[in-house]
Amino acid sequence: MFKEMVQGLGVTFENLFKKPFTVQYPEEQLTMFPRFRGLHILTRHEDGLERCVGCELCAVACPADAIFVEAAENEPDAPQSHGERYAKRYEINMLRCIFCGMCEEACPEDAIYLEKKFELADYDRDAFIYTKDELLVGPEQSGYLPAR
Amino acid sequence: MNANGTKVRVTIDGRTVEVAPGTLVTDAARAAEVHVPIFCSHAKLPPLGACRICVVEVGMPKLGPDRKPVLAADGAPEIAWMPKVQTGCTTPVLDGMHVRTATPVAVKARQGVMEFLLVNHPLDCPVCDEGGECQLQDLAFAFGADFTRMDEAKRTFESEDLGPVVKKEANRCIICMRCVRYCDEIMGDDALTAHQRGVWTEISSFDRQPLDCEQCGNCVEVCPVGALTALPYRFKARPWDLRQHVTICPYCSNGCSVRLGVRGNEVLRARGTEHRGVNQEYLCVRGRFGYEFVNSAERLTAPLLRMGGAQSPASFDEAVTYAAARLREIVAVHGAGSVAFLGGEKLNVEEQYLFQKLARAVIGTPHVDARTRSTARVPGDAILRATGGGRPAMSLDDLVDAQEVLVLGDDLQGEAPFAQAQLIRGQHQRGLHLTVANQRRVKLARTKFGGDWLAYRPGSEPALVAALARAALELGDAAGAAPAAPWRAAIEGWTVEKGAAATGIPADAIRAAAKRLHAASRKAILFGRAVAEHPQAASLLEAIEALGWASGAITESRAALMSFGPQSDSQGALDMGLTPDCLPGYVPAADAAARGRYEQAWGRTLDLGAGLSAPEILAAAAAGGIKALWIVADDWLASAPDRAMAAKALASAELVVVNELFLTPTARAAHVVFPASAFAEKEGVVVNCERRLQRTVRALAWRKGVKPDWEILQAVAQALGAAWSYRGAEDVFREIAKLVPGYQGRSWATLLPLGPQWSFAANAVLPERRAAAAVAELARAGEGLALLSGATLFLQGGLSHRGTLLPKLAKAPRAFLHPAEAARIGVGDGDRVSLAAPGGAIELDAALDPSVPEGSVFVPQAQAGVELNRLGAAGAPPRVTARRVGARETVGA
Repeated sequence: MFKEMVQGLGVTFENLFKKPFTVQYPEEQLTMFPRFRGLHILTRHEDGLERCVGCELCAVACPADAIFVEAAENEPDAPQSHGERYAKRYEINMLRCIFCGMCEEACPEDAIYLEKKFELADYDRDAFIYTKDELLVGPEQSGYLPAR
Repeated sequence: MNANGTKVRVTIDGRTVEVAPGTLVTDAARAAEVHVPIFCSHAKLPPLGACRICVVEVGMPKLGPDRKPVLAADGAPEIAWMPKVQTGCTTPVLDGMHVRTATPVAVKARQGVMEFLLVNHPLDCPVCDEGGECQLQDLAFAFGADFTRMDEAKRTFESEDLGPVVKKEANRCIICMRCVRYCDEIMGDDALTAHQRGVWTEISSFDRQPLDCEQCGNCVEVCPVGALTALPYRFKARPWDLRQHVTICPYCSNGCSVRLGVRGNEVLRARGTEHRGVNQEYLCVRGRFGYEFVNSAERLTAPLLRMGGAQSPASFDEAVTYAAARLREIVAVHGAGSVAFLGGEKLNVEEQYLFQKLARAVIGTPHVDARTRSTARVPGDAILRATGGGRPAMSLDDLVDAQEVLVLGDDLQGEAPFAQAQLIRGQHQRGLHLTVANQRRVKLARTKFGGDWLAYRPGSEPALVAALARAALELGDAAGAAPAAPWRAAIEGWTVEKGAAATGIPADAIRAAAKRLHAASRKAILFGRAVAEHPQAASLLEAIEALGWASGAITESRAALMSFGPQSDSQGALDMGLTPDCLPGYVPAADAAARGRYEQAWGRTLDLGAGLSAPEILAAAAAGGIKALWIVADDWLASAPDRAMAAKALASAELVVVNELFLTPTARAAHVVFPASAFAEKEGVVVNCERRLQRTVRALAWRKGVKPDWEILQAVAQALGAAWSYRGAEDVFREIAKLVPGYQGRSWATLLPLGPQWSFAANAVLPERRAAAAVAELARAGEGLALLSGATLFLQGGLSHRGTLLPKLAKAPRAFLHPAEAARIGVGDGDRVSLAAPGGAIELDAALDPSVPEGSVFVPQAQAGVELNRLGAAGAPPRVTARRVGARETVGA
């Protein structure tokens, strides 16, 4: 019996001096693994134009039917993207999204990536419909593509 | 091709099928359910073999010295395969032919073709509008390699907008020539051509000008890749976003099937329907781009009630209660004969049936007429008699194979664009000969179609038809042309020479036209509203019947005449008895025995007295004799022959009820306005010019506050105490199928995919009738110019100008004058002219057009802003005096 108690306390003491696994979320944040799939971003070319051309392949690949795209034609003087077409509306319903990454795989333009952000809770259902403004990265991130 | 009815046996990938001799290998493969890809081949175009994607291995049984097939060891005939692959789309099948599509040789050849096609094809599928429905994309997936051996840069062209409809991206073009051939052979426009040669071949318009054509967009439809795309649909959606609904076009009487692409609750495009409908892939500009009114924000969304002075929105129940209460009051005070029902040519037959049932069985008035544009009383069965009295009718497909076609009075480009395309195709591919009787040199009368143009004097259609009938009778009795036939009365007293003098056409030309028609074994006589709305329509239609019998176009068993009504369901309106003298199925309303079936079914006596026709209702209402008017799907102020009189009638009526989509001028004058569903929002049956029953389907959810006409009619009938309990339009059709001659035994289920053409059962032809008077001779021309009017391509009816594209294509309304005539009255191109008649005057910009004969002015109908009926019911033909009232500059703004 004594032997078992020592064994049990041994485990306790062993762990007492180990580095803890838990982190003090939200003060402390974990670094996500490289292939973690969180909130989507829409990327930009080096010249600041959107990579997305509004082809809707992400929308048709999406198994949860979470993506809505409405394309439009670029103004030749003030284009939004390379080519003639851009996404006038780009919306993802995060309540439907299952973070499978099929959109990223389907995208022929490297325009959509699932990034590391996962804190998506909100107070309002409508807030879960992420619009293009919320998804598109800032101009300072022009040319940024996540490592895969 | 298949004269003796024999079939040939052909084996494709081991599947043996029997097909008609002359069938192409690709078509036989489709019959054998073997997939052979095609790009350049098209069912309506002759084989070309330009793209070579359809290559297959072809072989015939090997013949021994005794001309018998050599048998292999297993007893099967040995096949001698051709040393190289053949194009399936140009190779007709032979008896015993074997075809292999999936052998290494065939697949390798196809992959080679695919590689060549992709050498210069850009990889811009994500941007291209064809993406998702592109045949090249599909085949690249199926046969293409996922790498390219080409290091060289691809050749590039500038993209162009070819007018407001077609966007051209020549980089994507695979030079299948479908668009060029379709435009030439079926549209007759020659608007597209191939520039340069070899790898630099580029499809464009001549001189790269905007396309000068019908703007039909069929080049876009037949383009197998994204080289030609439709500008109105540009980047709007992907094919997988769209719910596709095949319904019937709401414009002309051809009844083409359109495939509406709907996203959300909005129609984004309309396309043809490959292998379906009377038209298949063909659509005219109205069918393809005229759906815009459905999405319009100006649509009515709530019933309007006039309480005191102004109209104000009301609930549906309030409007129904008010309309029913007022109707009951008016019937109680003035009698049922003070109520009249007008319009309804655009409704589905179920709604038309209920409309007249409401009038006759619930209100008890005989005054029902859909033909609001008529200037004279025409018997309700006159058009049916003129087109053979319910004998099996010809189809639009038969037109292509006809040898001789007489087009009487109408410009088919505006009245029936698909029929025109069929004629052009027949002329181009099958040697059809056209005789076009028209005052103007319309498109079909152009010399390029090799036809004969009979340019008669304005208004002299009756004289021409009578002379043609006389000339045909001179050629000997056609079958069934009995000397005592009642139709002879219509041409009594006419001779060819008299007709020649009245029409201004040489007697020889009339005789030659009659002879061609008489001699042809496959023929057709086509007419439209120029005849049906002629002041002498009743006797003119009988004269056409006479011409039909005399020329052999009508026989005891068949009739080869076709009437193009002014609206999509004008034929249905006649069939459903929206005429004062006929009950549904052309049962004479005055015949107590014949109408018994309806009295029994509707539970009341139908001894309602003589009904007034539309022009008589107009006169009676303006004089105060009609107290209540119900107008359905018709802007009466625009369609009535005399606008001032119609306005007076609307103002003096105690109750005007209007079912409309938009707040038209007529609706503005109404006491009750019911907002009605558009064609894409309701289902039912429409009848086209072939008398073909076709199902329309619902593509859009009902708009809030808007109901289909049958529901509105039923609600008012119920409020009036009728025990109507139709749960849907199909219930109404079941009643029609029980009661109406010609429609008996039909059901919605049997109308898909392509409905049948109705005809009366054998021996059940129309009752004998009192022959009308002979066609009268035309009064000699008076002062001024003859006013010609008619349909034009871009606008038709009261809905087409509610969109954006069609009015833009139609340009501003203009008065077309012959240059010589314009010079005579001192009018230049673009000047403002006033057209004055005793009843009133209108002002328009002048345009010079040599296709308009001298001594006349042509003003198209259906354009917003052209109110020809402001001129009053002028004579026949109407005459106006034209006067220049402003220079070009002053009217520019």
